[in-house]
Amino acid sequence: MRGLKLLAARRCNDPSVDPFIEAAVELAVPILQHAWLKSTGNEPNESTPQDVAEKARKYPDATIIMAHIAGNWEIGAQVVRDCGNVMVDTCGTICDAGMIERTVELLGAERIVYGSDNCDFAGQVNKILAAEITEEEKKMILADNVERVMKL
Amino acid sequence: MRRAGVSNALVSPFETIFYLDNDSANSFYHEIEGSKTLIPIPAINPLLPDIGRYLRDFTGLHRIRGIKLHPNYHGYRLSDDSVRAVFKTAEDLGMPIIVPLRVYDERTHHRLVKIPPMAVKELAEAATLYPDVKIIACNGRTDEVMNALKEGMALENLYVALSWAQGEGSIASAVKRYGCSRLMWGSNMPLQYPEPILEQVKNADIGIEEREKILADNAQRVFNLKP
Repeated sequence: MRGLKLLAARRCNDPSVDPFIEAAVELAVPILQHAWLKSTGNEPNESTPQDVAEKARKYPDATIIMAHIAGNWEIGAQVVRDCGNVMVDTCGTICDAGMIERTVELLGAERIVYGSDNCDFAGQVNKILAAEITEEEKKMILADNVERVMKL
Repeated sequence: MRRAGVSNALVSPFETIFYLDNDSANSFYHEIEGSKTLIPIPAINPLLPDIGRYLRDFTGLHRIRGIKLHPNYHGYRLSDDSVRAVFKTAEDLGMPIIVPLRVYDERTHHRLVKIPPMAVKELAEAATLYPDVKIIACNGRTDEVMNALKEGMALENLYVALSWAQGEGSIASAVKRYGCSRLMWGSNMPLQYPEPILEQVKNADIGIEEREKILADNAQRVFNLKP
C-alpha cells in the first residue's frame, strides 16, 4: 500500500477518522484527503480545508495531501500554509488562471502534487505546464514530489 | 495568447456585469481599435434604455462581430419581451450572441455574490424564438455541453464553445454523437488558463478536419472572420 484515500464518509476532523490517520502514520504512507470549500454548501461529510488543518496539527507526523487545493484554492492554500505536513494536489475542473502560481507562492512547489481527478489528463497536465513557474517547479509538481512522498 | 498559440480572440469586457452603463464597460474598444488580433464583442445589459439604437451606433463605430449577454447577472430571461430588441437588432445585423452559462465556477463564488448558472434549456428556448440568430453557449460543463448539442440537433442556430474543462473522452463522444459543425473552442481568458481545454481539443480522439473546425473554422464561419 502506498497511501490512503479518504473521501467524504466523515469529515476528516471527526474522531472516528483518527485510527486511519494513526495507521497511515505507522505505515509511513500519505493520506489523500478530499476537501472543498463550496459557496454552494459542502456535502454533509465533506471536509473543509479548516478540517484538514485541524487534523494536520493534531497529527504532525502525518503527511496529508489536501485534494483539489480544496477547490476554493485562494482560501484553501492559505488555510494550510502553516501546516508543514500538508501538501495539496491540483486536480479538478477548476482551471483559474494564476491558481498554480499563487499556490506555489504560498506553499512552495515542494508541497504541491499534480493530480488528474481521472477527469481529463490533457487538461490537468496543461494546468501545470501553462503556469508561469520555473521548469524545475513544474517537474517537482508533476513528478518529483509524488515520487518522494509515496516512495516511488 | 502567444503562449497558447492563439492568433485571434473575440474579447468582451468582464466589467459589463457590474457597470450600470454599457458605454462605461465597452469604452475599452477604443483602445483596441485597429488591433489585428483582438475582435470586439460588446457585452450588453439589454435592460438599459434604447438598446437597439445603442447597438446600431456601436456597430457603426467599431468592427464588432457579435454580442455577449449575461442574463443571470443582469436579471432577465432570454425569452423576455424586454430583450426582444437585442435579438431583433442582432438578427438585422447578422450578429451571433454569446451567452456564458457561468463566469466562475459557482462553488467558488463569493458568499455575498452567488449567481446561479444559466440553464441550457433557456438558450434552447431563445434559439427557438429567434431562429435567425446564432446563439453560442459557453463555459458549460460536460453535461451542459452534451445537452446543448442535443438540443441543437433540432435547432441549427444553437452552438457550443468549449471553454470549460471537460470530462475525459467527452469531446470525442460529443463529436461522434452530434458532429462538430456547432462546436468551437473558447478560452475564458483571462479568468482561466487557455491551455487545459485547448489541449483537450488537440488531444481528443477526433479527425484532423474535425479538430480544425473546432479550433478555427467554425468560429470563422459563425463570426464572419477572415482566416
